[in-house]
Amino acid sequence: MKVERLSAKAEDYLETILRLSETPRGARTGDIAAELNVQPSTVSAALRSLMEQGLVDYTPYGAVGLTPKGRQVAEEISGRHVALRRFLTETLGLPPEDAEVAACGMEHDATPLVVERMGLLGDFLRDHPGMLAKWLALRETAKGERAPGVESGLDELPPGVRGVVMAVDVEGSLRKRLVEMGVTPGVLIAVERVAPLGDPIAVEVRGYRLSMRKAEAARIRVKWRPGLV
Amino acid sequence: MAAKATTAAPELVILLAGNPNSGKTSLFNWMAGAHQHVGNYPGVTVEKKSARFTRDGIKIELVDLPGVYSLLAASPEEVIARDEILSGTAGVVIQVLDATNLERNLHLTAQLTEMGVPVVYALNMSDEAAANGLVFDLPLMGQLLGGPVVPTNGSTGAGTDALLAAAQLLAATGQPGASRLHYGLDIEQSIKDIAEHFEGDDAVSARRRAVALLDGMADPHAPAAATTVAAREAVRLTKRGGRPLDVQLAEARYGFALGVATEVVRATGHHVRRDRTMRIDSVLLHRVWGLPIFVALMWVVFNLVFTLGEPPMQWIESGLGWLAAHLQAVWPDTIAPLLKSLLVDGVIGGVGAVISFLPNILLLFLAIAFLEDTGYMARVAFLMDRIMHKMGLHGKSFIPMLIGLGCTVPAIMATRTLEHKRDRFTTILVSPFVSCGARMTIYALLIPAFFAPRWRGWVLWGIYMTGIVAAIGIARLLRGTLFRGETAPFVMELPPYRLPTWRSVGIHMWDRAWMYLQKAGTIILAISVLLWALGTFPRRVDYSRDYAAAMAQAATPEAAADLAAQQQAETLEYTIIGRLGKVLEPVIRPLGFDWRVGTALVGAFAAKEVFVAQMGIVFSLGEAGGNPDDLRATLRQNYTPLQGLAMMLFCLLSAPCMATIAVTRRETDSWGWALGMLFGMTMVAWICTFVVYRLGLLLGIGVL
Repeated sequence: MKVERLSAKAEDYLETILRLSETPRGARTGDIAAELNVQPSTVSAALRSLMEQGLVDYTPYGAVGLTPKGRQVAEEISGRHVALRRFLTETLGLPPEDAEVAACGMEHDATPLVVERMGLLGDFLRDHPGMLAKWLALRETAKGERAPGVESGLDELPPGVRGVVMAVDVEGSLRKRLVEMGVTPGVLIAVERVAPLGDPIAVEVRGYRLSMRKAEAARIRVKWRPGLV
Repeated sequence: MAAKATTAAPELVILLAGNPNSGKTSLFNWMAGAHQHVGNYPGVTVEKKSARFTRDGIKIELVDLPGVYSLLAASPEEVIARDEILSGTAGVVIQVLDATNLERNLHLTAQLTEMGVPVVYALNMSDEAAANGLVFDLPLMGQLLGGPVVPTNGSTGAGTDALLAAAQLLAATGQPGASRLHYGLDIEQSIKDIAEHFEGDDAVSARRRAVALLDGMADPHAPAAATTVAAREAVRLTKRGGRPLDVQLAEARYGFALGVATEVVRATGHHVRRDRTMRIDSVLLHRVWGLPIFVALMWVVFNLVFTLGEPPMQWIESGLGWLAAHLQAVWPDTIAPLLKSLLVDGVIGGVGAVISFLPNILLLFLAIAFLEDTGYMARVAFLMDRIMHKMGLHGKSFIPMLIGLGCTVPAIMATRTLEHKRDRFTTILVSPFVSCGARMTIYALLIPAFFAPRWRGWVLWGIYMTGIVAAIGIARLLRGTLFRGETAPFVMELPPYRLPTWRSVGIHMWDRAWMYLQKAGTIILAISVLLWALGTFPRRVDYSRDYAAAMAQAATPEAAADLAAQQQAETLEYTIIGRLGKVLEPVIRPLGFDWRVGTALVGAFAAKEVFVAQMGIVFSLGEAGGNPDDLRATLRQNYTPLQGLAMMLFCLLSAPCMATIAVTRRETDSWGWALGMLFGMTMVAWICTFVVYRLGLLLGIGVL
């Protein structure tokens, strides 16, 4: 059965209720409020709303229970949460506290496909010790100090993603040609399509279409921009 | 402008400048009407279109400059455009601006305003821009650009009269446009420092030359001091800007372009044109369907050119045949028989060679003009570049090679779309290796003569493939030696799709066809007459027997025809062509050819299909050959299959026909390349045929 997507807040409630209901005390309003760091009155209001959606069973001053539908949703969120945390700690090598914080934020938006493929990547690395070793060495080089963002050759800019030209690393007449066609630093550029045989590519720049070979595009450095064209 | 003041009948030269695909040529066609003249700029194969007419009592010469993106003089087109503008003869320059793509068009404006000439702006395709929801503030635009702006429409001709009026008015006041382009304080200071050293120049010219030096363009006449300062400043400014100086200069020009475009254009709606082009591209350049659609389109073009062209070609040939027969009949043999022979066999034959190609050429240029004007030609290059690049050629080389399957002459003329000389010449030199239609007649005669039915298809396929492999091999060889260096970059505009008007396609087609008739035609006619002379002189007067008497006594008409054919063979043997065949015999003996093949090969230079007729004559079967099977049987008696294969191989690879040589001479503007092609190909043919024939002999294949 497909469950409608709930708000991040509602998902947090269900996940907390699931975790507390597995303890001997059960899930109680006060404990939920403490876990989520909110006022008990807020919790009461939220629980009423969840009850109306048929996700929880709730009587004032008693333990809060999950309906079968509520349990299913809660299990899913909790599954995503731990899968993300495993990926963040084992594959990316983050400290547990950082991984927990990041997982809490990502669990609501990561689609099942994202989570599944992250898991596959982790499995893949575990199954290939040689690659895992290389990866472990490589990940040590990143300290989280570099400015975020992606910079690459124009040939690597995926179709539909916009980039800003940072530099035109070409010499002589080709550089002259490129800049006079409007490929100058600071201009927005996007790859419109790749030729059926894989080369050349067609880009959009300054409101018109320009084609170039991948080898030529590779020497134009671009910074990727968010959003799709 | 000085000339105008002194001469009684003032003449005004108006130059038409602009980006490729800006609709410049359509505007030119509207303004020039029937007065236009197509020629070449001296020394280069860049087309020069101009027109002379009188408007308001003033004699005007309108010149359509080559379409360029820049005036930096980095390509022959740019050199011409710049030199024409700076030559001082131009009273006024009209820049055609594509209103749908103003920003990039204004980049050229930025350079043009530095030239110190009066400029009028034609805001072309303004109707299309309006459909795209763009609104222009024309008075503000004129103010910012420093010249009047006239909206025009290339497909209807609207606005062209106002444009000429504005140009004449501006020329009368002679107010040169002032540049509003500012490169930034630091660069401007360097420009001033360099410009000081250009003492003989006025301020505008000194500034322009200073900027060109900073842009890295060579200026051999610049004072040494200016060059030194420029070199020093370029290093300093590069360091300061953190990127090459020419990039900084281009940024400044585009800054100007973007500034003006943002000021004068108000977008009110959606980009209709852009969306339409994108939709068409998503079909025509589709990842899976793009190539099949292209192949299908090429099939259509091919059929259009060579199937639709066939009937008119036949009409022309039969018309000329009728003319020749008629002349033969009414002109008594007793009066000037030589002149008669010259007219019938030489001139009519030569004219036939020229104009029998004409239907094909017209249709081909029609198709090419249509594909070019719609914007699909750029896409063909885009689709095929991967393959052609591997061969050392350019995406645009594909169309000529394909056309070469039909006829090499239009194929070589189609190489005009290639911008860079290296790519263009390589393509010209290898296109004759692609088997043309005329060579098919040779294969059609020889293959059934020497090969069993089940092998025939394979032999034919093999011959065609050999030609293609040879083209690839020679292309790579040329790129490694004579035309060494990177293939031209593929940085090329993919213009928006537009439906061309029949008028512009028609003019486009006719211009090129006329050029073919004029230039290639005269050479072909001359060579035809020469070949006629070679095949006629010296004339034999005493034969081995009295044919006239023998024919008179012949019992049956067949016997008489037989005798006539024998006489013809003897006549041919006696002529220079016949003797050439014999002189050539030692050279072609190693290939397994005798003098008769040699004679046919010399004749095949006129046109490949002549080979078949000549073989018929030397074997005394008459020119018509009667039944080709008789000729095949005779050939089978005289030659081995290996020799037959050698003949085909030699015909495939050797000297292309005279029309090809003539058109190569015309397109490369050099006899050197044309003769180089002739000797180079003949050498390749000789070596390949020698190797194949000797190997065959050694291995004992096909010797019986």
